[in-house]
Amino acid sequence: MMTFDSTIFLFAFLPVSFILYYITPARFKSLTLVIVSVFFYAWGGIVHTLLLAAAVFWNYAGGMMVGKRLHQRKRAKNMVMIVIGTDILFLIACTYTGQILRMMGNGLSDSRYFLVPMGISFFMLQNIAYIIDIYREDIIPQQDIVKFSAMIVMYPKIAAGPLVTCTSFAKQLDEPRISPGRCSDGILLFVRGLSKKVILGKSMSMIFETVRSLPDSHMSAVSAWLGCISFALCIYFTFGGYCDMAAGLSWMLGFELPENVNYPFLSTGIMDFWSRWMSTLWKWFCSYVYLPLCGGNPGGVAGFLSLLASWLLIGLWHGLNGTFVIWGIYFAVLLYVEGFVLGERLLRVPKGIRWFFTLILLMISWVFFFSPSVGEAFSYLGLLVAGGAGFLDAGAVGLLTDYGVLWITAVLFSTPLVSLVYEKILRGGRRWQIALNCAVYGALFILCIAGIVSGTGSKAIYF
Amino acid sequence: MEQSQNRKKKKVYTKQVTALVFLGLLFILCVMNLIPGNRGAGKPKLTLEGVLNGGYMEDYGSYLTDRFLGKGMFSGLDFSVKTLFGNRESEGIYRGRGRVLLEKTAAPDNKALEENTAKIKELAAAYYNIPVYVMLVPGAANIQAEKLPPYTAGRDQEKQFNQIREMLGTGVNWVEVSKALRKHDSEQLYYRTDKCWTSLGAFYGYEALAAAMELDASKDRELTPYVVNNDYIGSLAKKSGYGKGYEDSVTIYAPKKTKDDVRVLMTNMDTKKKTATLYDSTKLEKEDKYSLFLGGDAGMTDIKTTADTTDRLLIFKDSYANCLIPFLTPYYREILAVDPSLYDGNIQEIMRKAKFTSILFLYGGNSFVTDTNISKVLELPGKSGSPGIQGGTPETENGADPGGEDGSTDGGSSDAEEDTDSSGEDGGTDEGSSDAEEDTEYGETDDEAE
Repeated sequence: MMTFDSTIFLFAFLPVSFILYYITPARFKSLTLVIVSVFFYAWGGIVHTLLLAAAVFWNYAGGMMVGKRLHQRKRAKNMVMIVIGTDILFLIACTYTGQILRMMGNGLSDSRYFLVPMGISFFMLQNIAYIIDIYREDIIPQQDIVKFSAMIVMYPKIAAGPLVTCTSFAKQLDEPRISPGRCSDGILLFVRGLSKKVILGKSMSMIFETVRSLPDSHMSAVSAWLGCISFALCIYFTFGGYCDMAAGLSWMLGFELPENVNYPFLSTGIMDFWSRWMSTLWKWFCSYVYLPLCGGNPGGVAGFLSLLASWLLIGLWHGLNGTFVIWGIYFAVLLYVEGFVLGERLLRVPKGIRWFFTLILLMISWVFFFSPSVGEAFSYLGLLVAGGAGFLDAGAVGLLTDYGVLWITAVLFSTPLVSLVYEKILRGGRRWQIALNCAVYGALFILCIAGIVSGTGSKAIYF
Repeated sequence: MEQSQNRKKKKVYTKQVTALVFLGLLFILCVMNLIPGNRGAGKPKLTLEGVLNGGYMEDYGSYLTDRFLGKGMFSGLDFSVKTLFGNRESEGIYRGRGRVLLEKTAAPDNKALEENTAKIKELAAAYYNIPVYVMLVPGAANIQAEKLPPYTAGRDQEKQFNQIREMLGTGVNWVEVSKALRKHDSEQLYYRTDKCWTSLGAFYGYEALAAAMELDASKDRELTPYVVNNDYIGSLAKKSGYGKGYEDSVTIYAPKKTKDDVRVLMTNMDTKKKTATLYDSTKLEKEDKYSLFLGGDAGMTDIKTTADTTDRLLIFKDSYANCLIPFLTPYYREILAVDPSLYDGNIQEIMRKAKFTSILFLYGGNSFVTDTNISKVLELPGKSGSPGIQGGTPETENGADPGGEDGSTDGGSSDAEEDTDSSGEDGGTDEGSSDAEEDTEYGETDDEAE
């Protein structure tokens, strides 16, 4: 598949697709967007593209059919069940088949056809939301298949979101706002995102891999914590960088994507974290699973069970593994305790303390995210508490001192501090400031190319 | 109000200029990469299957990256960034403490390892009257683990060795060299930028080997080290990118007393080149200075000596052996060194060369556990899967008629001692060999031996 941090994307797809898009007259821009997006997707294989096309047509037709039956609620509801049921089965089949084959030891699992199609878990959620929104009469079915396709397959967001609401996006599709200013902003945001992913994300994965390669007997508690922190920073820069790139590309295309990642490590609570990290995903599950399930009573037993069900689904949506199930339960419990058991009382705790404990709880959650099995996750948790080589050993000190420059850079860039200071330095727009800005972005781009060309990218879970 | 608008305008202007610079950079790189030319790997083959499942596109993406203009330069830049960030590992090589590079202990290729050990056992059983020795040299990461970065916990090579020892069983003699090296672990046993051991390391290895093989102690000589080169940069530096300026010295050992010297005639059986020295000093002018020893790796190298013995040694080896073999010359009349990765003959052909009295497998631990060639050489042609080696005492013909012919065709003389003494200065092509008289002498002794 094509990723934004690949030579084929940067030096072939990006220039060609933008030239095509810009020279297309306004009324055909959506069509061009669909064509280039399909090409982008087809780079991962034609068969998977056919699956995408099938999903798009099915939901386009499904939307029309639900729309036609809206005056007969029961029939509309049945129609919604059929369309969404098929969507869910399709999603499960595409996502889990390869994994189930692998578990069974079937050789077919190695076939590329059984790889999870790129972005399927994201665009299927969007299809489902579209159908439900029509049923709820929040939107009217999109008559124009080109616009509907553009909404689903638009390439900046197809691989890993963010999830957009159809209402906001349909309007944008009617009149993309392309201007030199927005385009420049988009380009710079794209470069920043690329740098986050390629330079910092890849580098943090070096530390994480180093920690993961240590046998338990050589891992002190501090090393184990450093492993969690490096993973958290790695996934933040990789996914956050990806979201920046997606947003930047969308600006260049004349669209606005909702914010998906916003300095998650500054969160002072778990709810706060989920409004800063993949916020569109939690919003989706809130609107279409949690709130409908719990009805008007989020605090009661039904409320807890709805929360649990939502988070189990979010866990399984990430992958078919016991670790994700536990990860989901973990967050459901935390969110419930935070929201309904501790509630207002938490606000009396100083912010710094809340921030610290939130961070600790988040680091623990990553263990379930990166461990390949439940058993390994729990043994890693044991290392966090007791350590296989004591609390602190030379290895942990070495990890901190050898990678000192990287730790400092990464921590600084995970806060808004750097961008605030940088904006301040640039304020005034004098010549030297322009030159400095050009040099900084030019250097970042060159370093990104270096990272991309030298290969060995870090593999992240979302794409 | 006006001021803030003005400021906003300037900000937008700054961004636009920067964005233009980015576009310019992108444009330049795009154009540069359009320039046709044969850079790197070939284009992937277009197949319907590949397009349907995306395999072709993935290969094409890698192809584009591989042929990216200035890839080497960009990779170097990326390497510098990673090093600046504190990375101490590259391509399986650690940048250790005290300006030393250490190769990670390799993960064994279990299937190959089983085949190799099985074939060695078969060999030992088939030639039951010839003792077979296996000597695996541990890597620096094992012997000098304290030089590794503190957070690295590599694979346990000792454990690997113990397993191999068990797999080989009692029919094969294990030469324990780790203990000997560990006794001297503070000395420079390994090159700082190469996986191989230094001549000093090899010397300790030779001592352990001599004890295990019960070599004639009366032939032991007093040796003196001579430094022949001071700017050796080994393969680990080239592979990892680390170690610029970590030059090493190359040392050779020569007997203190001239009378202890053993004359040699080395024949590279691949190129048929003969020399009267084990050291090819022309290699000191080249990049791979380790090739000084035995002139580098060759499929088969035959060394005949003036040693007063009838013993003949067959060595299956990798490059670790190259600097150890010179220590063995006083104990053998002939040493035949076979590098299975470069030799395409089989064991029968090898055994026909001479009447060997000992067989030694001498490998670096990492190359032994990943080697796939030993079992191939020990396999009898056309009999794959079946025991490759025919049992019983080998009916060897004396194919190794040393002296006579060799000496008479290759005139000139320059003996081993001269070579070692002359150190780096010696041009040392040493095409010449011992004089005819000596050669006849070889022949006579040889005949007597038969």
